[in-house]
Amino acid sequence: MTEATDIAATVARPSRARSRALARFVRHRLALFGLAAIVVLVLLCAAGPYLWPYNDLRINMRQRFAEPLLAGLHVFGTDELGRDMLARLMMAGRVSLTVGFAAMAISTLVGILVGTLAGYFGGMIGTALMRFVDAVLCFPSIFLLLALAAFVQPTLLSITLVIAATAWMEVARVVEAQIRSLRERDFALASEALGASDAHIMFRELLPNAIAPIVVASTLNVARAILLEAYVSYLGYGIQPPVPSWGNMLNNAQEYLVTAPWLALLPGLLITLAVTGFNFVGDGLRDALDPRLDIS
Amino acid sequence: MSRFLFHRLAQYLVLLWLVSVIGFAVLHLAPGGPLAQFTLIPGMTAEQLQVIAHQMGLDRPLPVQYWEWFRRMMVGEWGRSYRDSQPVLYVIGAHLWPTLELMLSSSVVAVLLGTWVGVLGAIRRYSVFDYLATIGAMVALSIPTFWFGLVFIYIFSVKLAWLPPGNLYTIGDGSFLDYARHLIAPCLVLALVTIAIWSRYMRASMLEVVNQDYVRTARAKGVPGCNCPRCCPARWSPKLCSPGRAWAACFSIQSAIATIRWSWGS
Repeated sequence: MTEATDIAATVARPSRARSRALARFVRHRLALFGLAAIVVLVLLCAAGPYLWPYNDLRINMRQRFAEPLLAGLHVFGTDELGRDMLARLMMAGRVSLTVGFAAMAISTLVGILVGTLAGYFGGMIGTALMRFVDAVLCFPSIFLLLALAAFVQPTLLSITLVIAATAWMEVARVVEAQIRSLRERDFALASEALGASDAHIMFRELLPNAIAPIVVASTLNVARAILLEAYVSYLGYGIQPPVPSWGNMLNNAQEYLVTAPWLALLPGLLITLAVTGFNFVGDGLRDALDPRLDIS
Repeated sequence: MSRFLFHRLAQYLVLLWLVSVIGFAVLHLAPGGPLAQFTLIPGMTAEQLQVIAHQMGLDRPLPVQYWEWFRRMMVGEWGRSYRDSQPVLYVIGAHLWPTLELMLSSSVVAVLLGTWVGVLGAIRRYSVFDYLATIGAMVALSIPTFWFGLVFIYIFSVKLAWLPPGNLYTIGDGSFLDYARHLIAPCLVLALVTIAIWSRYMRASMLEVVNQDYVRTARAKGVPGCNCPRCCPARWSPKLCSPGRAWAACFSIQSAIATIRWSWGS
């Protein structure tokens, strides 16, 4: 099959070998670009506020709406209260990235647990768990998110938990499919025959073999979580001002679109950059970790 | 086959029922429940609230309430809106048409453009076009739609003044052209994500076919140029169904966003 494909492809495109290397290089480079973007953003948000002279909460009514690059040290301009945009963007980045990583960790754990149990035990338990996953998937995550956000006081922790609650299903599905096929393999049967406990087989034998797709799914989940946080905060149900997050900065900025567009453009650009970064890395990991996939 | 369909159908009925339970529970467990908005009226007393709760049947046990709600849902008595007492079916009906129009127009755009991008990407695999399409699709999937809408309005409505920044039509101008002009911006912005998803599916399914033997034979026999007519029909039907879930998720989020962003249909 691959031979036939190769021949056909060679006929169609003589420089295939070179193209393939190019493809791998570009893929590689996209993932590297994504990684670089993430590292730069994380470093900037973690260290930036200590080094930058302006505080993100300091109001200066004499310098409201200072345009980027035109008002001395306010490189990214100031907002409607004269607060420095760069300082706010960095602090907001801390919040948004923290929510992203934490929600990813929680949703991955829950997803692994549900998926492993469902895939391992199968039968009634498996069907019940997976049907539940399907049922939750039926709800648009934004709707679920807003309904859940109405229950709780919006704090960093509660928003993280709520986002995690809407993001664990993909991981659960991936893990369930993996575990279900792995548990029929000889090594799992052997382990069972040797009298290993269910927990041992599930978490020591099967799960390590399913790690690759989990890594991919959870990388993509960070991207998703950052996007979701932006959505809820933008709609006003997420992180509450004065604590800035990239999403709630957009919320305030909308009114000033005509007179001060940078207020809306900059946070959105950073969200896009972060999310693209994680998506590129996730995509690269998928290619790197999936042995079946010819670079495509 | 019919057994399989029956089995699937039964599963989905159970699923739909579960969805109804979760939806009902979420609305009732929210703080204050359905009564919450009445507590906001100034001068509302606890007795009055009790009267309202009694009249609306909200003081009965939850399972009874659920059963009553479910039964009426089935026979089409959806009750009246809490907000303005209009029949719920009427309110939904009034907003259904603009929503459907938006969904339909943006999915037509998305399918056409997405198919073009995906098929071309597969045929000219590893070309500059293919790389740009791949990168573009990834970026499109990463842009928050509401923000993209904002940027779109800023560029095309504020800076260039090509397109109207909101609403369904200009008041006093009922022409089709005016309506279409208002449709362009939300339609394109909503289509973006779907184009990205669709082009990826199209590319992948074309790639599966494009190197098959029968296509090679056709090529060897000198079938001219673009070989997509040969490739396409064979594998398309299952692929057309596969993005269903992504499709559904996209629309629900995005039509909400269009409503907020362009005050579409409200």
